[in-house]
Order: sequence, then structure tokens, then C-alpha cells
Amino acid sequence: MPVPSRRSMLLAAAAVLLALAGVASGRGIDETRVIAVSREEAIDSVRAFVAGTALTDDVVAEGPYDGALVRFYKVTGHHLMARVDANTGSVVGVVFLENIGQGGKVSVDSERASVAAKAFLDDHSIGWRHLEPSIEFIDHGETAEYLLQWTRRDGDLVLPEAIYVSVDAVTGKVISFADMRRPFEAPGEPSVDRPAAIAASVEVLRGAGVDGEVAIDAAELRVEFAESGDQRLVWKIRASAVVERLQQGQEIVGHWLVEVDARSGQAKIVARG
Amino acid sequence: MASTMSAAVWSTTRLVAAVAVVVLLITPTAPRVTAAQYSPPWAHAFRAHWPGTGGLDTTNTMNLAKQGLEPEYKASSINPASAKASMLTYAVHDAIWWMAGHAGTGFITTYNATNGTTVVNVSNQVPGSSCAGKNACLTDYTFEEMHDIRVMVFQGCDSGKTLANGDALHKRAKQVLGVDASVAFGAIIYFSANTSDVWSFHFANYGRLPTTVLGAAYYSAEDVLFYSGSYHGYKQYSVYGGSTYFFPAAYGS
Repeated sequence: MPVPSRRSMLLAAAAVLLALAGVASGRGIDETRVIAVSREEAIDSVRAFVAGTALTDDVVAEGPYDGALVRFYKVTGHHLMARVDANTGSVVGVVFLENIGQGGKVSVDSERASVAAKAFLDDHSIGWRHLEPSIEFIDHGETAEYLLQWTRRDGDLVLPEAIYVSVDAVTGKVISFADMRRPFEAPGEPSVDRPAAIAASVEVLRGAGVDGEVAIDAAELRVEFAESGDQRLVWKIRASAVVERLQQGQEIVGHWLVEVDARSGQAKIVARG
Repeated sequence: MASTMSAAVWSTTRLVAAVAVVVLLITPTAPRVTAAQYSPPWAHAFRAHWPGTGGLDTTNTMNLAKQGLEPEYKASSINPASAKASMLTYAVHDAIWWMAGHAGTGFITTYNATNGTTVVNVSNQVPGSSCAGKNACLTDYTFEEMHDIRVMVFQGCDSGKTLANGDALHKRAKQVLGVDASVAFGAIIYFSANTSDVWSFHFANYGRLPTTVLGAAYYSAEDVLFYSGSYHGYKQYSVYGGSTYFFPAAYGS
């Protein structure tokens, strides 16, 4: 991690003042979103991450932007695109487009991809051994990759700890890395169980005009975070239904992602497909 | 006599050869582009707005795509009626053809209050499909009609999945119809109900880095992850002609 500059110290001081103002006004503040790193320091972090290479000669930093878990800078150049946590200065994402093997034959198996991904994480001191691994082969048409995920669950509860590494299926090189981890507190038991969450999601879909037979494709209990930083326990329900059957019998199927607050039972449609 | 005949044949041969060379020199070797060429080139983003609060509305998505392509492209966000005759109005002269709506294996749809649901199928091999009426099939289009298009985007669930015969919307667009690049998805993808659509906004803008269509697809899937906490199916992009660039704008070939 780079040594804090005068500018970042000023940023941190400003953040503390904002935090105090927030507390004084009765509003909480998400400490993980406090900006403590400057754009220049974000670039330094990326340079340290890819130490010894010329990949960062032409990079520029933009942001910070509000992400789902953290506030981040985007550092972009001809050879890479990276994301840096604006609070900690850690590189939380990077893409090396040059490592994509275009038009080649798939020659890397899942075992070799897994070895490459683990070596990448070890080289950057990113802990993965306490997480549950999974691997998926993705055919992109002219290219292909293995997406390796390390996630953590507590029973059926999905915790906010996930690491993604993509390995090209032709070159065997790491194309991308994403660190989607964030500190959290034990959420306790949900007040709304799975059947009640599913019923609430169907009800909100009915209220929104979905009148076909609703299929529940998945239901996950997850720890997530509101924009304010407040930790939330939510059910994410993936549902689908035929929205139209055309004259010849062709079926048009709609998909919905419904979020149900596992404390209050309040449900809302958050995405459609 | 023999030498006279030989000389005559030689002279005739030389004459034919000379004429052939002249004909070759004045005949274009590539097919003529009969489409009007606009400056800047056109881009059409086909939006959909199904009724009800539970209905899929991609108006915002396509407006973001339009904004991302301007001013290098003369972009418009429109509701099409997808019979071939109608779609060709947009397809022939244009550089970008981008659709966002409900989709499935081998087809993508749009909707508006006037036209109802309209479909673009890859062929009549899609179960229950029709190429007549408001519907259209890519098999009805020719290389000459479509090859000017630079990028075709089919932004819908499972739009990149292949039929049993191996055909797929984006695959046919590139390999048979000659568009420079095509993009579709092999999974269920989601459009945000509350915030701006992350994928289309970033995908349209990444071309300015400059980045190829493949690079833009890769980068924008990562954006979806960081902004929403999930890939929402966008990691399962499928691209043909991925080395094509959006920018600088130019005509397809």
C-alpha cells in the first residue's frame, strides 16, 4: 500500500468531518466508503500490483465511483483496466485484455486454469483457502475462458465474500480478477423464511401485472449493503413467467429479480430480463 | 499457309487478351455498395416497452446506448415493427443495429403499444416461430443487404444460445450476413429496474478508449459486477468479429 500523501490526508480529514456531520444529523456513515486515497495513489497501487511491467505506462484514473460494495477508482490504459478501493487503496479488480487468445483452439483444461488462478491470488497475497471454490467454462463465441469463483456461505446464507478469477482457455493466462469482499457482522436469523419470501415475491409480481404462472428459478438469502452502508439481510428471488404466447405458439418468457427484506418482508422488483 | 494461320490466331489471341485486360481494369472487383452513405453513419437502438410495472422497459437502456454512440454516430432510439421490409429501412444504410428486449434461443423481441410484440428470429427453425407478418427472420436477409453493418447487438436473455442446427442470431449475422461484429448472450441477463442500465452505458462508451467490441464486452461485464454486485448474466457474452472497433465511426464492409 502506498504511503499516504498530504492530499490523501486532507481527503481523510474531510471525510472525518463529513462523518461527524452525519452522526450529528442522526445519519450513519459507511466508513468503508470514506475516500482516503487520491487518484495518483490509486495509480501507484496499480503499478505496485503489476510490478516490473510496462502495463501502466499510459494509465489514467477516474472516479471515485459508488460500487455495490466499495467506492472505487477506475484506472485505465491501453494494456489494462483496474479498480482501486478509494478507502483502502487496494486493487480490487483488474482486466488484462491482451491475455485473451482470439481464434485459437481451447487447449487449457480446468485443472490448469485452477492452478493459474490460485498462483495469481497467491502472488498478490489474496487469501482464498477459507473460501469454497467453483469453476465454470464460458464459451464466448470466438474466445473462451474459465471463470473461477471462491465464495463463502453459512448454511444457505450467502456472505459478502467472493473472489473471481478468469483464465483464458487458449493462452492459460489470467484475464481478470475481481475481489468482492467486504467486512460484515453476523446477521442473525431472518424474520422471513424462504416460503414467505417466495410468496411475497409472487405477490409483488402479481401487483405489477404479471398474470402467468410464475416459476421460481432460485431463492438465495444474502448479506448485502444499502447505499448508506447499512448491512441488510435479503432474499434474492429469481422468477420467470410466460409473458406472451404468439400466434404460431412461440413463447416470450420474462425474468425478474425480486428482493425481499428478510426482516420486514417488504418486496420489490429490482431487475427484469 | 501454316505460318499465316498461326499469325492470324496469334493476332486474335492478343486482341482478346487486350480486351480482357481493359474489361478487368474498368470492372470493380468488389460488390457495389448501393446503400446510401450517411455522414455521420447511422446507429439504431431498438427499444421495447412492455406494459405494466412488471413489464420490461428498455427505453432507458437504449437511450444510454444512443448517448454513448453520439456524436460520432447519428443515433436514434426507436420502436421498430420488425417485418423485414421495416427492418431493412434501418439495416441497410447503418453502422450499428442494437436491440434490447425479451429474447430466447434464436430470437429477440421488442414491444410497443402500436405494433405489439415483434420478433426477429434467426430462422423458421426457432420453435413456434414465423417469418411472416410483424415477424422477421435473419435467413430472409442477404449479404448484400446487411454487410454494411458494423456492429449488431442482441441484448436479451439467451439471445446467444444456438439452435440444434448450430445457428444463432449473432453467429449468422457475422458469418452469413457479413456484419463486422455481433454480440449476444448465453444466459439470462437483467436490466435494472431502478437505476441506469450499467452494461449498455459502458459498452457504448468503452469504444472511445479505443477498445475493440470484444474488449468493450469484457470491460462492461466487469462494470456490471462492481456496480451491482453480480454479473447478472453479462459475463456470458458471446462475440463474433471481436477485433472490430466502434470508433472511429466508419461504414461496414
